[in-house]
Amino acid sequence: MNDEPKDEPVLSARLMDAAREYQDPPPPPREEMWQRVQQARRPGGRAAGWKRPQAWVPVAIAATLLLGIGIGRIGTGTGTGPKDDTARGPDSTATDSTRPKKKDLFAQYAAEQTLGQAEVLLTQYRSDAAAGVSPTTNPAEARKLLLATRLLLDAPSISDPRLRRLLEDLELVMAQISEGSVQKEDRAVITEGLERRDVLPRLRAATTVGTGVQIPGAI
Amino acid sequence: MDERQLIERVLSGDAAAERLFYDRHVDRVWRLAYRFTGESDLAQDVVQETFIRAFEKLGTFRGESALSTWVTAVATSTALNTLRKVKRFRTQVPLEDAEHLAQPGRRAEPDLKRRMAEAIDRLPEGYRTVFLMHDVEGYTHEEIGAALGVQSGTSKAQLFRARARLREALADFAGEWTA
Repeated sequence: MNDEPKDEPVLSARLMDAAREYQDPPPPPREEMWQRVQQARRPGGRAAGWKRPQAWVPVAIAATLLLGIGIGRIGTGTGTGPKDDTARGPDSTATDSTRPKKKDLFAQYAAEQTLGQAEVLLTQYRSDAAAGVSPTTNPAEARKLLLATRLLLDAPSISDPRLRRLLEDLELVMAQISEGSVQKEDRAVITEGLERRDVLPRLRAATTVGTGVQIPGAI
Repeated sequence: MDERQLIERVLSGDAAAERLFYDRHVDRVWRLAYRFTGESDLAQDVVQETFIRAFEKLGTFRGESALSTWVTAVATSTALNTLRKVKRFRTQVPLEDAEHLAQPGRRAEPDLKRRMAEAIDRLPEGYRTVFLMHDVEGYTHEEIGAALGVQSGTSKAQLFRARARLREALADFAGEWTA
């Protein structure tokens, strides 16, 4: 299969043997991976792509959510104006039921950014734990994500029960990681919780590639 | 079942065909995923993501290359994106620091396997990718070019530079190189 040019320096057999041992793959866990693929492709599930989170996102999330919550409070009649249902005619009600509201889009975007960042952090946390090395994840980052998760849980427009369950699980695990414990036992409890609740696959199923907007009901 | 029939049946939602598609490609995808990541959990993530994307995007496969090449392209892209994401959190040793590996006598009895692994880890992403695919996994430059979306000449150049870097890093094994 190789197409070696004649003038190309090549490795000796001994060095090639060493190179072939580099991250030499064990037999693939075929059934386990197939189950995971099927699970992620179930109706209502959707795969996620890797995303490179931005440092300013937590701030944007907080600001976005404050705006979203503010809009939500006004929209649910906590203000002094007339309630929407009594002020609108039948036509406007029909339009609202089929058109995404701005506050929903804000919250969905904030949710996607938070979930994307959480996925990065948890992937690394699990990877460090599996390798038996000290956590390279930053507890301060976990605290930011904990704050963002709690803001999302408080947002009136985050109503999808699957998303709320995921956020609740995320809140728990971020609270644990933000403690910054390096004790093996503590980390084992956290990673076991991650696996038991399928947090990472659910996170990946919750976002979509490149759209920047959560697909409603995709979780 | 030939490739075209398999694709048609997968696109029609045939569960058995999906499993056959998976079985035909999973070993190749797994090997690449594990070579790139070196961790079972991460490699499984890459495999899962690769097949999810492959099933989602199979309708866009135009048959201009072998299906295995197309799947390899999806897997390579997924694996590299995964690695970039994970590395963001890892303390990276600057490439310049790899020079210390070339100092003879630094270790009395250098462990060839470990030294090779360190040297490969310190290769720039493009060099490392091509080296692993070509020299370790046995892909041709044409296959690598198709998977990475580059010309085969670019793949050859990357491999040449990768080997040069490895030669520098493993200078005290200079006799092990052949020209």
